[in-house]
Amino acid sequence: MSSFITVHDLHFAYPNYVTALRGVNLKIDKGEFVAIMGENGAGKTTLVKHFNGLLKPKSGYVKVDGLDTKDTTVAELSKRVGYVFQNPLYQLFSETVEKEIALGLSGMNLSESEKARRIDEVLIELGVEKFRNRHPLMLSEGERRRVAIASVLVMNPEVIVLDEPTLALDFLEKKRLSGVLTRLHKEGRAIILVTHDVEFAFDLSERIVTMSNGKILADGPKEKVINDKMLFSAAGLVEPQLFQLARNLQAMGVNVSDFSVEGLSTKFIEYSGKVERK
Amino acid sequence: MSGIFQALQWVKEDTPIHRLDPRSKMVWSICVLLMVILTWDPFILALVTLSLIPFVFLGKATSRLFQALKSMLFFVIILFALEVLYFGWYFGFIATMKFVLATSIFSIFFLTTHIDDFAAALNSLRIPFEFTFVLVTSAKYIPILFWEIQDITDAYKARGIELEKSVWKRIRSYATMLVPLIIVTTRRALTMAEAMEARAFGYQRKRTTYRQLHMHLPDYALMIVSVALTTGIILL
Amino acid sequence: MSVLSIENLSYRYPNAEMQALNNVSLNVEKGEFVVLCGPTGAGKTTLCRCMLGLIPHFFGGEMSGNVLVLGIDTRYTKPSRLAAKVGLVFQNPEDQLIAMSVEEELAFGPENLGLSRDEIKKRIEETLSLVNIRELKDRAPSELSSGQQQKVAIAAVLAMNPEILILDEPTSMIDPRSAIEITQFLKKLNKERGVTVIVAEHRLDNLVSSADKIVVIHNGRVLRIGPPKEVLASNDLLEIGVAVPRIIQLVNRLKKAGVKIDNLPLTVEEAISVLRGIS
Repeated sequence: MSSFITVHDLHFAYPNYVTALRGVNLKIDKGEFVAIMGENGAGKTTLVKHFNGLLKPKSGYVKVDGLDTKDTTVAELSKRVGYVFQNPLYQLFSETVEKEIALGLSGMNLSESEKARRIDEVLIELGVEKFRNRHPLMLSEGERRRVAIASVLVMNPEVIVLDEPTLALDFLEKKRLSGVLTRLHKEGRAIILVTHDVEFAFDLSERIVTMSNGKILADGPKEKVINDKMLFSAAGLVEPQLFQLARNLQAMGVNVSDFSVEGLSTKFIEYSGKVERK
Repeated sequence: MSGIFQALQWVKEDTPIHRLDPRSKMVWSICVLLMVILTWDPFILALVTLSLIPFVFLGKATSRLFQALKSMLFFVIILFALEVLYFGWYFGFIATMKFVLATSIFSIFFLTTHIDDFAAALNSLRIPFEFTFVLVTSAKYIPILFWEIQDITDAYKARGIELEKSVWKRIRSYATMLVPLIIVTTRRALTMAEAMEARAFGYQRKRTTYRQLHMHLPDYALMIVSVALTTGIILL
Repeated sequence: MSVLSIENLSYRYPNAEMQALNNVSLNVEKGEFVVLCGPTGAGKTTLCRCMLGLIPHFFGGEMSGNVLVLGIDTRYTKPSRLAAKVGLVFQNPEDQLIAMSVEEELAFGPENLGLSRDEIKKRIEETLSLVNIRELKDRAPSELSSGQQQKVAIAAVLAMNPEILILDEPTSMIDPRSAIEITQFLKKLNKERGVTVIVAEHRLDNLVSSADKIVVIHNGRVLRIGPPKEVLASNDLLEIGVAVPRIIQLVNRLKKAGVKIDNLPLTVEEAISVLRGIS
C-alpha cells in the first residue's frame, strides 16, 4: 500500500538563497500525526510547501494521493492537503469569517446547500460560530488562527499542514488548538505540524521528524526520539525543562519513563507513598 | 518583475564607483540625465551610451543591469511600438533609446550607492529628515513587500482557487489579494511608528547624523567633468 | 527607590466597549526584575504602552490615574522624551527595525537624542559587545533570523542607555534557542548592570528564576503580585491562562497530594534536588 504523501530524493534550492533540501525521503500515511522539527533554516517549511505544490522539486519527486506534484496545480493539490500558514493575516481575504471560509469552496463544484452545510459544520468544529459575521481583524490571534484552520478544513482535505501554529499564542489558546488538532486527527485526518515548540509537538504527535541543514536527521515514534538527547542538540532544538528534569533523574537511577506532568506526578506520589487527590 | 527591484538594489562591492561620494554621483547622474532628456541627436546619445560603459564595468553592475533591462524588455517593446506610431521610425527609436538610457543611469546610481549614503547625501543638502526617512524606509521595505506578495499569493492558491484565464477575473483575484497586503502593511506602519517613538524620534529638533560623507579628488573631478561636458554639449 | 509608580490606572482605548485597564496599581524599585504575565488581552501590552507614555499620547483614549516614571508624570511628557531613559522593545522583531544595517539601527536612537558622532560610535561598539552581536554589525536586519532581529532590537534600545528596559513579549515570535539567549541576557543585564527590567511574557519557564516579582494581570486588573515562589505556589493560575512552568506544576501537584516539599523549584537544578529528596 503506497503512502498518501511520498517524498523521494527531494532536492530544492531557492534562487539566491542557501536554504535547500538535500535529498529528503519521507512517507506519510493517512491518519498520521507527524511533527516536523528543527531550527530556523533547517528546511521544514521548504519541505512542506512541496506537499501542496507551492514549490516544485528541482530533482526527485513528491507524490500526493498518487499525483505527481510537478504536474498538478496548487489548487488541485489543496483539495487534498490543506495548508495553514504561519501568519494568519496573510491568508485572510474577506470581510467576514463566513465569507472567508466560503472562499475555499469557490473552487469546488458543490451545491449551495452542501456549501452552507460544510461552512456551518466547520464553524462549530473550530469554535468560531459566534464570529460568523465578524471581521477577522477584530479577532484575537488564537481566534484568527482557528478561522484560518476552518477556512482550510472546509475543503475537506485528507491532510492538514500547520506551519508554526503556536507562534504568539498564549497558554489557553494553545490548549484550545491542541483540542482542535486532536479532534481533527481522531476524525481520520493526517496532521503535519511544523514547529519548534517541543512540548506542543510531543504532547500531540505520534511521530517526530527532525531536520537539519536540508536533511532529515531522525524519523520515528516519539517514544524513541524522546530518549535521544543528542537529537535535540543536533537539530538545534531546546529541550523543555521537564524533559531535562526527567532525563537527569533517569541518569541518577530514578525510574521514569513518562515525561509528562501527569506521568511524573503519579510516579513521585507512588514513591512518597501518598495517594493523589484529584 | 523582480528584475526591476534588482536594478535598484545596492550591491555590496568595493569598486571605485562605489567609493565615490553619493553627492558627486548625484551630480553626474543629473547631468547625464539632463543631456539624455534634452538631446535628440543620435550622435550625442551614442556618446553618452559609451560613457556609461566604464561606469557599468567599474561598478561591477553589468549582470544586474542586464537582468533589469531584460525584465523590462516587454514594456520597452510596447513603448517602442507606441513611440514609432507617434513619432515615426527614426524618432521612435531615439525616444526608446532615451528611455533605456535614463533607466540605466538610475540603475547605475542605485546599484552603486548604499541607501543610507544616499540619505546622508540628501541630509547634507538640507532636505528635511522626515522626507528622507520616508523615502529610505519605503525603499527598505520593497523587498519585504515583495516577499509578502509572494506569501499572500501562495495562500490564495492554497485555497483551491485556480488563477483564472479571463483578465477580468484575474484582476478581481488581485484585488482580493490586496486586502491582506494592505492590512499587514498598515499594521506594520503603526508598530513602526510606536517603535520610533520608543527610540526617541522627535526628541529634539536637532538630530545628529552618524554617517559621514567625504569628498575626495575623484569626486570633484567627476563633478567638474560632468558639469563642464553637459554645459558644453547643451550650448552647442 | 521607586523607578515606576502606577496609581489607580484605568484606561479605555478610543471606540472600545470595554476597559483595557481597571484600577491598576504597581510599584517597581530600582534594579528590580519584574515579570508581567497573563493571558492574551489581559492588558500587558496596554500597560507597557502606558509606561512609556504611548498611552495617552500616541493612542489617545480615556485614561485616569497616573504613571510616574523616574519621577516624571507620563501625562505631561511626550514618549520621545521618556524614551531617553526608558527603553521599550516590542513583540514583533521585524516591524521595529527601520535601518538598512545593524550599525545604522543602533545609531538611530542616539542620533535622535542629538549625541555627538563620537559618542554614538562608542555606544554602538559597546552595545554590539554587550548583546554579543558584533558579527551582525554590517548585516541588513531584514536578512536576519527573527531571534537575531530581536537581539538587534534590544541592542538598538540599549544604545540609548536607558535606566529601565521594558519588553513586551519579546520571545513570543522567535525560536526557542534565541528566546533562552535573550532571557539569559536580560538576567545578566539586570544583575550585573543594575538595569531595571520589566518583561511581559506568557512563557515563564526561563524567567521565573530571574524575577524578583511576578505581576499577574487578568481582564485589565492586577490579580496577584509577589515573588515567584509565592505567586506560583498553586496551579490555579493555569485556569486563567498563565503558563505555569511544568516543573512547578509538577511540584504543586505533589504538594497537593500531601507530599512534603518545602521549596518551590524555579530551575531544573532545584527541581532535581527536590525530587531526589522524595525518591
